[in-house]
Amino acid sequence: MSWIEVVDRAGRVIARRTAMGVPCTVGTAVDNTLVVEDPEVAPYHARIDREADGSLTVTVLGGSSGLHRPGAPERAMSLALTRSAAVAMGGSVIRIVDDATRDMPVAAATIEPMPDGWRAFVARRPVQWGSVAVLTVIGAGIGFFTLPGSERAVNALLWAVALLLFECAWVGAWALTGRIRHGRARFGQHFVVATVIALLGLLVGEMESWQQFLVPGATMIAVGLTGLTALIWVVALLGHMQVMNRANWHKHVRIAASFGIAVFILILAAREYRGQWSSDVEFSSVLKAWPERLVPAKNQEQFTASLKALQDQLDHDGEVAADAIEDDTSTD
Amino acid sequence: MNLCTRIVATGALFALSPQTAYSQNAVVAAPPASDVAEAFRKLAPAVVRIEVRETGAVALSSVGSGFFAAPSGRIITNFHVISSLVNEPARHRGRATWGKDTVDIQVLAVDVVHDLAVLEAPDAHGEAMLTPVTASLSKGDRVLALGHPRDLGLSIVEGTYNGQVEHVLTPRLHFTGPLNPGMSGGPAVTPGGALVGVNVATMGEELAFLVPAEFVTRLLSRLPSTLPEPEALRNDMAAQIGTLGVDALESLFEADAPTVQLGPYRAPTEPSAAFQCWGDAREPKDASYRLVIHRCSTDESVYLSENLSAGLVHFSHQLLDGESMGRMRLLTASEQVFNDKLEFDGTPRETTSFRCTTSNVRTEKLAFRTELCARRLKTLYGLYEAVLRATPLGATTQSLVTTLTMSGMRFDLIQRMVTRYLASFVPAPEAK
Repeated sequence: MSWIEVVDRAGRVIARRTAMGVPCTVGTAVDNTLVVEDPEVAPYHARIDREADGSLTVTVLGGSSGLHRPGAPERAMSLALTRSAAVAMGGSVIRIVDDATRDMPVAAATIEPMPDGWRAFVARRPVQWGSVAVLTVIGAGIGFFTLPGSERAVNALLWAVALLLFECAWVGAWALTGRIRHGRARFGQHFVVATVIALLGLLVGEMESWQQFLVPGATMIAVGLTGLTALIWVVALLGHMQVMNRANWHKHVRIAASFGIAVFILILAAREYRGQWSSDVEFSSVLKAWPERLVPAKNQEQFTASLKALQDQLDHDGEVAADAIEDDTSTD
Repeated sequence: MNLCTRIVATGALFALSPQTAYSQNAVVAAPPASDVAEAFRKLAPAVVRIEVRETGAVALSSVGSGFFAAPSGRIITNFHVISSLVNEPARHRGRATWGKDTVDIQVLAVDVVHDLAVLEAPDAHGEAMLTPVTASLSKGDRVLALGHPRDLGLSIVEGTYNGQVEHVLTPRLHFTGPLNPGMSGGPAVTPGGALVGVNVATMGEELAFLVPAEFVTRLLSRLPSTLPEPEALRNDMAAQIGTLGVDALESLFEADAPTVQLGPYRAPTEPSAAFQCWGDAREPKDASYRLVIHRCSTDESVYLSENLSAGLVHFSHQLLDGESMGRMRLLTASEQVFNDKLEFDGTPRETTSFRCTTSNVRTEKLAFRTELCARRLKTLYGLYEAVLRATPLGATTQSLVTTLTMSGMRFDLIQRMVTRYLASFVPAPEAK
């Protein structure tokens, strides 16, 4: 009789199942068929399936560290599991044994040793640390190069820390939700989604500033940019939900699309509300965009024409309300 | 505090706009001479108490004074005492009281520029009538002012004439005497009873102002034969203010107007005697630049309503001196200063919302980033308020943000002022 065993870093067998009992799942979550305790193994790390020809295959479910052959550095998403070829994940090894060889410790040489040092520490979580690095650079750049505060280094540090804290809180919330709902927390993938969304958000924000500067009053462009903002929210929501659980694609699309439409309507409504009567003057000029190089300066005649157009708008505004005033002020 | 604020405090219901400074005004004048008592006895029948009530709340909206200065029961007062009868006639009713008589009043004519109004009181027949002084007065001449201070009853106060006020858009007489809220619209006379002027404003500490009697005479000489509709009155007011703007402000920011050096630029300053300028320099908290501020403003404006005034011109320059900042950070700081929100008074009934136009503008000497925001006064046809904010382009170590505010003006005047204002900025000689 053949068995599927999981052996830990010290060579101890920590989980076992008959080879007939497939498909089965391997991971740290307690509801896996083969439960392992390994910090480098995901809650639902891999699944073992039997192919049509009777062979066994291990496929990654959610483990960001993937699969590899013991002692070989190449990572794979799917590997065949045979008596002669074990499959490693993190510091654990999945192998097939017969009755005669079961319970025998695995030779230490076949287990990949845990790497040491900060490079290895970073290499084990390349996605997470890459995201952190990107956000740190962006935050520090904003703080250092643009903000007019008196302490540039402090500005840079504060902005980098603020951006990272926000990112961590955001990613943490999604990962926690994933852990609660699906028993797994995929920090790395949430980090990727969050970083991409943050970068897109910065890009669209900058585009909105430039729109006000280059084509002020272009309503359709402004609405288009609002749509882009809503789309970013849709992508963000969809991405995070898919990271949590790749099933339910249609349901996730419906949820994200509904949320995006709500965001779109809310932003437009907020703009409309800001357009209501107000006695305040709100300026919105972009100065740090070297405007003189991009927008030609008007001469006196052109400037006067733009003021005349403003007067026409104001006169139109006044006429709209004229009837109401007459009613209000008429004497008996 | 500009004159506009002071006028409101003097004339409008003091319960609405109490000014603690006025408590200092309870200065007792010199012991009344026998001729003061005699003057009071003679003049009292000519002075009336004027009240305006809001009909919805049936409550007092304003209380002031007035006097008979023409036959047929016509009463002179300040416009700001009865402004709500013109601006919101459907919601207000006015009455005049003298002795035991009370009559309804209606507005016959307005001189909004000089803050005067003539009221029609068909049932009133004043027992006395004031006539303007004919002899010229000298500084130090005694003047008596009558009115209803804080609605405490008709009173007379003694003060001195101190000539014409300087630095104002419209002529005012300087009266040194204890005018108090509620005396607005009352007469100021010589001991002999000749009209010197009309009580209009105070700055406290016995520093008070009168509308010269000649403007009463002028207003009485152009009275309409029939009672005008409120809309016609407002149109007349708008025309008067439009003329004031052209007369008093047309020559501002001409090519030879004075300028002040601020960093690499020369910027306009004190464009006429009606302006006063102040300066300041400081380092904003947590900012790495030094901020130099230069402000100029007309010291008075024309009262239109509780929220609106006309003829007010205010401009300020803010120089951001950030040599060690680097251009990107300096421009970010400039952007923050440029985009500072400005708050104005007014209600949806009185004005439209502000609308803005943004452009880069090139004058003969400089190129600017500009944003002009303006709104229209709905009740005074043809008048607008506008704010220009501009900054010269190409700043590297010092950036200048300037703001020009104009209230209650015709748009063509606003256009001309904005154009001349921008043209009056030039590079400082050292910066060439």
